[in-house]
Amino acid sequence: MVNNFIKAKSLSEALKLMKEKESVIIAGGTDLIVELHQGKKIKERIIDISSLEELKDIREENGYVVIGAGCTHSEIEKSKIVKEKLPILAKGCSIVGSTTIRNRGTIGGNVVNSSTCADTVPPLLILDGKVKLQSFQGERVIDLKDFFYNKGKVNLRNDEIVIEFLVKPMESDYKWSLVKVGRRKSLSISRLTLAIAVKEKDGLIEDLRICPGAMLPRHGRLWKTEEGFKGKRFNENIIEEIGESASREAIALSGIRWSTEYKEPVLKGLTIRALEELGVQGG
Amino acid sequence: MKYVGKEYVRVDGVEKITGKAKYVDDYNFSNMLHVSVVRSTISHGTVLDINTEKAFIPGIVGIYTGKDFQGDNSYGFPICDNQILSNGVVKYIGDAIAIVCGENRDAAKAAAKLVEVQYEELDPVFSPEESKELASSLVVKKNIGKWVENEEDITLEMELSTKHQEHMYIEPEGAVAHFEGDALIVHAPMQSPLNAKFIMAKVLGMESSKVRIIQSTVGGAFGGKDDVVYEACGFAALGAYKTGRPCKFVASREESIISSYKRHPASCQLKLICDKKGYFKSIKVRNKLDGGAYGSVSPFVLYRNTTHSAGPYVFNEVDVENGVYYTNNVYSAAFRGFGGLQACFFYDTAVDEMSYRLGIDPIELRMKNIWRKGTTTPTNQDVNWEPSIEKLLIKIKEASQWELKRSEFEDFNKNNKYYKKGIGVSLGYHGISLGAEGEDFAQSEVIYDNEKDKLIVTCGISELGQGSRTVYSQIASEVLDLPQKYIEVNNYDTDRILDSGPTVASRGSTVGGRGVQTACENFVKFIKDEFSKINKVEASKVIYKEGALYIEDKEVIKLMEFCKEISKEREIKIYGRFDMPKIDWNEHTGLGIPYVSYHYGVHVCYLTVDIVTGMVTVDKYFAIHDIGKVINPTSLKGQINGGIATGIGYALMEDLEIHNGIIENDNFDSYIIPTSMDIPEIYSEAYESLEPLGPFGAKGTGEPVLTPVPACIGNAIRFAIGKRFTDLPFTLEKIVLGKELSKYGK
Amino acid sequence: MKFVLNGENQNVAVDERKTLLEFLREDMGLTGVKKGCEIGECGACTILMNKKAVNSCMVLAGQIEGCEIVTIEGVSKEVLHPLQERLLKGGAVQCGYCTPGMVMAILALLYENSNPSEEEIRRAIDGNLCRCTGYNQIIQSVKEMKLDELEVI
Repeated sequence: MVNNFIKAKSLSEALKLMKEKESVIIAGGTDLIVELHQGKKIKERIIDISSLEELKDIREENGYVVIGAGCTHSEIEKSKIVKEKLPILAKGCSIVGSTTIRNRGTIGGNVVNSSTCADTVPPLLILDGKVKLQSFQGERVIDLKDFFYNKGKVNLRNDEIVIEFLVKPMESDYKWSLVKVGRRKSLSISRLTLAIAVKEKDGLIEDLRICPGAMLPRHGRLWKTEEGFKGKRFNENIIEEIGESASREAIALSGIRWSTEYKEPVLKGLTIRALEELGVQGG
Repeated sequence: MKYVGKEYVRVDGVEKITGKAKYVDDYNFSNMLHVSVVRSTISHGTVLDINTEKAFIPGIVGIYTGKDFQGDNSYGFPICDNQILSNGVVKYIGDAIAIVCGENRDAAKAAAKLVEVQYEELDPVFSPEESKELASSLVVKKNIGKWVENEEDITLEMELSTKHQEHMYIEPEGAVAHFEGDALIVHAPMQSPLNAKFIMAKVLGMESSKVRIIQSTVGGAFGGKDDVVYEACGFAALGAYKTGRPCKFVASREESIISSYKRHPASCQLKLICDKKGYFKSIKVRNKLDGGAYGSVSPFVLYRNTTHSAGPYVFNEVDVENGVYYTNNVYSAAFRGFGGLQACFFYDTAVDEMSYRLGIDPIELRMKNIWRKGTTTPTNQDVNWEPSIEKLLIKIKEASQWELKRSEFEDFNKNNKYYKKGIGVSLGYHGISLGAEGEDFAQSEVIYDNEKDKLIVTCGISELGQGSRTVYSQIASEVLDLPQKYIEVNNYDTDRILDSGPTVASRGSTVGGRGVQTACENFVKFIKDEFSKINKVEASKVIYKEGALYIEDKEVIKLMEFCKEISKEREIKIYGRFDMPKIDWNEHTGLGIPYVSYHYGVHVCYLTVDIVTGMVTVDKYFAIHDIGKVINPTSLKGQINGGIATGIGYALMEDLEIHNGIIENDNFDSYIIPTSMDIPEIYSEAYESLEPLGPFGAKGTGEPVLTPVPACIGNAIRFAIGKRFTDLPFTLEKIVLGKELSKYGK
Repeated sequence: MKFVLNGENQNVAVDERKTLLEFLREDMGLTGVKKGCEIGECGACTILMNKKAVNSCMVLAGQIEGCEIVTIEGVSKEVLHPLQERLLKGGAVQCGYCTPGMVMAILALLYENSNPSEEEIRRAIDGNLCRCTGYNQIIQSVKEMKLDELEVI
């Protein structure tokens, strides 16, 4: 199963250990331990970062909300700052798994594991979040959209740890919606998720952000659709067109699969309904 | 009544709420070995060779196969064609081939993977259509052709289907076995410990008197802890027998889902004909059940399925021909509902659809056709009792505000683009106990235990969580007029119990309860007789009440003291037995009396369908059941709520993905059951018809509360979105696309 | 490794690679903690870790260093906890296998919120599966707890 195990007492200790030799990080464990149960062999040393206070801060800094990667979904869901400034992320964390899973799973783990169904990713992408990575050598901050590669791979070196997320709150005139489609109402692996935010001004679409979850092989927003409708005037058909475009773009990115027959109309329908429900009707 | 119908604390409650109750995995003995099972990876074939060389890694003490059993290794009732360990043929993926005994679980697990099995593969079949081998077939043929057609008759033809259902008891199955001298003792959570005893004796070639089975606390069964636990006992017992050390086998969740038996999938072709006023004339049913690799109780499941295929309705003509087929899927056997659930889904979906054809309210249509005194059932049984069905339908109409909600939801749906509300009704019923399945009796004893200064009440029916021990304690309290603290209903230990048949068919309260009631009544009579003898008093002057004996109105001695006195001279052990009346049913025509008494239940639900995503939310659920007599109100509510939850799961989300014999969703993350967030407020009501057969009038409850659920939900969805779905489960994809979407492109 | 278990300080050798579930059941003899699925999806193994309800099968034993762990065995000694009394009376227990985990999940809620609404109770146990009771009597039992009972926690 696993060879040896160290519970890091500080972030610098963890980074030093990672520089020494190849290690596997465990925080909440809700992904890693399932893999172990399913037979994965881990030869490397395991470093437990779940107690590092340095990764558990939530604060406001320079116009950003900074969220430690070691924060659990429960902590983020209940954080006053996040509920007020990043409500779409608070909701995203609140729909992960179940209470017991949210009490352990971390936002850092959710993002790094980068499952197609990761519930925190669509809100983070809608918010144009950034992520700070640190190694013994130094640190770097990159846009989350540049963090995700295809098929669950991420822009993270072997000796790096995700430290925190820097997320700018959406301006108050943005309206947003986050819907998760599942087969039951808790402990549910997303069948399809839609995160959407829109800013309307004087009957025009000033900004449109659309991010599907559980659908794309590489996490990202539907940039073509967003670009295609920015600046357009709202009219009767525009919402339907946005839905159609979002669906088409998502399928172009994901390719046709056995589930496409379901996801195509549902993504379209969810997009249209979200825009209608947000009261974005037209000038 | 003092105790029956009143609140009465669960007798096994404290140990469970404190975590002290012992389940099979909590038993540990010194020097104990762990057992891991080598299972077939193919669906059908002969085992040519089992090579264990590589598997003897450090920590492995022994590896054993079917050849290591002393006796005949087969088991299964009424069809005895399964083996604890393969006799050379494997018939489904998961079929047990060998056991590995190791010093610890990890070693045993690792070693099992290193056992190399060579097979000669044979052609498998995976559906009744492909299979040509029947495990059992039954009919109901009543007045075939003897009714008059009219051109204004409405004919409705439907094809429906249900899938496998996995019990998902939260405690996985297992067994711990050890020898004390030459006596075998096995702890395991099985439903019928006496069966386990005889099977162990048989396969190990032992005297059954040397085998003692002690039931561990059962962490849920729902029908699923029969055969699979006998097998577990066999694994543990064989290991103990061969190694001389205690052996424990506990299945992992994945192993449990893959290898343990399931509810029978069924397909149905149904034709319902009624006149233009809505009176039923004819029903024709053809069911095909997938029995899987082994026969087990399939004939009994088919019996309940067939005798219930036409529902509690009156027809001129009934034409049913059903069969259970062998396939190379995981085998199907007992699951709460036992064939009756599938039948209800089929007939009550059709009846409901017929109401749309006729433009008649669904409850009104049922009212026109239900059993009433003076009618005959589909099997030609004379209804010479007053069925409570009409009363239940009237009650639920009121409780659910049926008419008001129908029009309210219709209006809502007209004005709502994306969400549609539905209200549906279903009528289920359940013939009580075994019917023609076999001898139907229960035996009980009331024993005075000197040391404990208590009355031990025994009965052969098992506690599975459903509360049978508590119900028996309550019945005993009522008859003996004694509070709970003087009574102990013992754990099921084959050394201390008399055969009362299996704990199945929701017969625990009725048959088991009557057995207990009889023994207690005999006990009271015995006490009074003894008292009268000893005190040389006329029997008519002796009164027993409130735990004491009186001569006329003067209290003489407390019961427990009196018992203590008598017990100095002799053992106090009083017996009682109850036999269900013999039924009279012809298996060639399917006509006669398949059950002497019935439980009826009506359900209504409100739900909301999100037509964009296909998600269904059950908003409120109503259930009214004729349970004869409420013995324990809290337990009854628990049974109803739990049954409804399981039904909601089966209707909406439980989708066993089995393709070419391979089960893909093998844990709780992929085979999903309802969470707390999926269950709505449930309104339940008990109607007390006072069944003459049951103790104080009680009928069984376990299954009938689950049986009507899938039909109820399907009927509500029909109302909501105007589409009729005939195949369980009603998944997201089915609701959005109108068809099943599978990665196998069926 | 040092940690606190059911109120008592512990300093024992720990196989860090074991799951906390296995460690508690096998090494510490606490068989009240139940095993149902081993992948964090059924909640039968729920315990309190620093007062939060977590699946013990989703924690590696080495991770509990310096932490406070409470299992069902630590909830009551001679007398039942008021929550346990209420659950028993209210029909929340049938087969009992999910029960220890349920009790822990509800206790965690009560630590944070001593007067939870029905919705909050329902959500607090959204990771604890039960196949017997249909949940409602569990939730109802907690709802019926009187304020003075809640203060005992």
